[in-house]
Amino acid sequence: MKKQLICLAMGLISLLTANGQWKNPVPENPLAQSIGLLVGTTGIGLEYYRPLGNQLGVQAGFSLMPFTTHIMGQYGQYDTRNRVETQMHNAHILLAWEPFHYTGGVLRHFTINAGAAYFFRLMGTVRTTLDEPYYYGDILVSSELLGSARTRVSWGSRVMPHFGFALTNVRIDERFGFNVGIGGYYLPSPEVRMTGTNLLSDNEHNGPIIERNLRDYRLLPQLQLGVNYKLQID
Amino acid sequence: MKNFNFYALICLSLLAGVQSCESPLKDVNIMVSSDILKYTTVLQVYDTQGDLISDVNVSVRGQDAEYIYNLDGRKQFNLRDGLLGFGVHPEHQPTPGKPIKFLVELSGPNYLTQVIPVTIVDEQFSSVYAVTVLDLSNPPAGVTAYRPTVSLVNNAIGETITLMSPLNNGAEQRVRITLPAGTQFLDENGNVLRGSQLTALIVNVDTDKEDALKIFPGSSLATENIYQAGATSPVSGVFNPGALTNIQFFLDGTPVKRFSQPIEIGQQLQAGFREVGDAVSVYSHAIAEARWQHEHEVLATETDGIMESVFQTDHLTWFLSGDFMRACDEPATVQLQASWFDAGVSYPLTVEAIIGNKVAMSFTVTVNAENSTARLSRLPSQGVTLRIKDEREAILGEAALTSCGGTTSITLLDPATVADPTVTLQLYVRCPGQSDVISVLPTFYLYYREHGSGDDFKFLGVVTNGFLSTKLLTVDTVPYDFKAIWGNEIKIVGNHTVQEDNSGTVGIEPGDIIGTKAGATNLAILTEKCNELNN
Repeated sequence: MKKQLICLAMGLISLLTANGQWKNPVPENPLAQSIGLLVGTTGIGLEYYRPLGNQLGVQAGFSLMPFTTHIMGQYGQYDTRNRVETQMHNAHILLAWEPFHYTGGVLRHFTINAGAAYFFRLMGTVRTTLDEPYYYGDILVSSELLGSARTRVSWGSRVMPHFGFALTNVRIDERFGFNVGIGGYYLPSPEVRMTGTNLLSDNEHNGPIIERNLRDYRLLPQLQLGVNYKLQID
Repeated sequence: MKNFNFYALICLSLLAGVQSCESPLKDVNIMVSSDILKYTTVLQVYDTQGDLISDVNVSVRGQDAEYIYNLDGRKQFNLRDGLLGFGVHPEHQPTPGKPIKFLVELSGPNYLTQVIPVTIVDEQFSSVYAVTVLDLSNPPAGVTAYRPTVSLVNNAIGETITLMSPLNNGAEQRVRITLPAGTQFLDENGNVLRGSQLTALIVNVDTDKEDALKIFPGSSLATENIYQAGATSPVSGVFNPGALTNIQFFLDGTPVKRFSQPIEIGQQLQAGFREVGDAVSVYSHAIAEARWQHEHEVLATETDGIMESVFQTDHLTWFLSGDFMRACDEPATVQLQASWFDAGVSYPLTVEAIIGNKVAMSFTVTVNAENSTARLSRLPSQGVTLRIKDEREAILGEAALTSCGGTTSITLLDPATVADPTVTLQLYVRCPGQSDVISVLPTFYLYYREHGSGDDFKFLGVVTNGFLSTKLLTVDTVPYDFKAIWGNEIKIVGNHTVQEDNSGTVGIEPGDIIGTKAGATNLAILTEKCNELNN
């Protein structure tokens, strides 16, 4: 896996470097008016880019992140099966600054982003069932009787600040550019509720405990890759 | 994958992998409710002096025995401090028209074997029954345990002989057994037993004495598995005995099951039970299957001024002369109503069914404002008075049973404890050296007594998921001993004073109470379960 990542990174660097060699630097804004498709850790979304002068720009868009998976794991002292559902939907607007717009090579596409996103929904839900036979004395308790626990971690619907770095609009050809970015949203403390059914119904007390433990989880990191399509050819 | 813990899960779910993901599960403890056995019952086993006993053997059998466990969910049934708890497998619970039935046999040296037929009907989730086993060396007033011996001639009775139980130990009724000359004694296979000395154990019971009647087979006049005259299927119902006798013979120590010819038994009837010429039903009871069998219809006769039920038999067992009232097919429901029921507070109340001035059935239930019904099977619809008592034996209400399968409402008077403060017990287990409680909240039957009083423990209620509210305890000033039946174990917490309920203190900080059902942490017991539960 590591090897694959290294290969991918090397390939990416090669691509960027090659791109830099194809085009001589010009002192104009490396950000072109374009629309882009982004895929990343906070979802999939559409982005609109617009330059402002030579080294500033603005980008706005939205991303959606419905995510469901099953994870086996340990929860407390029990082996569990967890169905995880994550929802991160936001609309955002960011100011982009290209401090090295006058240089050559890929460095001129280096962008510092700052802005905010309104998250319509930012929450994760984990439905936990035991993944091991549960015995009460000699009685094997069925999973139906045992029930499930539901942990809901929610940051609510609100505006959250964003800061990040990116390589923006690294040209692939006349129309298409390439984007890669890393950054993060600053989150408020989440609200955690734990509920349960049947024999797992007495677990409300764990909600405040998890909430306390998550108190310092304030950064929602974002890693994004994308392509953008130039609306006007130079 | 097993070690992939929830820490990783949170990170993944939020895709927040670059942060210092310190375990969000620190101190998290998944609680699994122990309220798995929804239907439970407890037998309090007394000897005939009214003391709880533990030196008897327990066996469970009968049609639903395979679904019966102790309160710990195990197939081990041991009597501890006179208490014996049973629970029904959660996937084989009683349903309307299909109760759970099993037999509990209690036996031991010098005890007369007692077989208790237990019936658990739907919606009767918990109950406590007092049962009595006869200590043959110490029978209660009104019960005679007579052990005559007879020398045999050529393995048979030489001359006709009559054995008469003595009128001692306060007894006012006796039994007469006449063995005709030439009677031989047979084993269970019909083989003639050989020996020179016949010993007998004859237990005769005065049927008008409440304490004496406690040794009635099954410890309840309301019983089941009764085959009436000519019947091929059993019914349940209530006996009104006018005479009750258990007869056992041994030939040189070998149990006798039958005779080569009928013997005659004359049971003296309770005074005033019958006039001469009145009909009397005779039933026998075989303990192996707890089966009552109609044997005869006889007419009361008077001999030497003694009113008797006289009949012949070729086998030995319990014999009863008296009346039988068939029960309704559907259990009766008793709806208890009281202005003093507080939400969430449990009240142990004793329900008695009185028939003809005799207590036909008695058991204790825990009721509260949310669930204040009791269900009674084995009772007829006519002639039954229901009586509700509190833990101090005060009668809070009475009503006649109305109809088969119907609901009888009884409005209860205020008990003496009505104005007392509520005490909430939140019982949980904090393992030594650990900050967290264990992951199973206990569910068990709890008993109490005033510390140093020497009294018997009294039933306080069923603690469900570690929680019980009660008005039976005096706060701050009175020290109590508590006794809990946790599964197969008995735990006693001695000399403990309780505080008044302080509901509302909810939290996770030290001193707070877990969960939302807050209350005073009045007891922290059962710590010895930690090792087992953490394994």
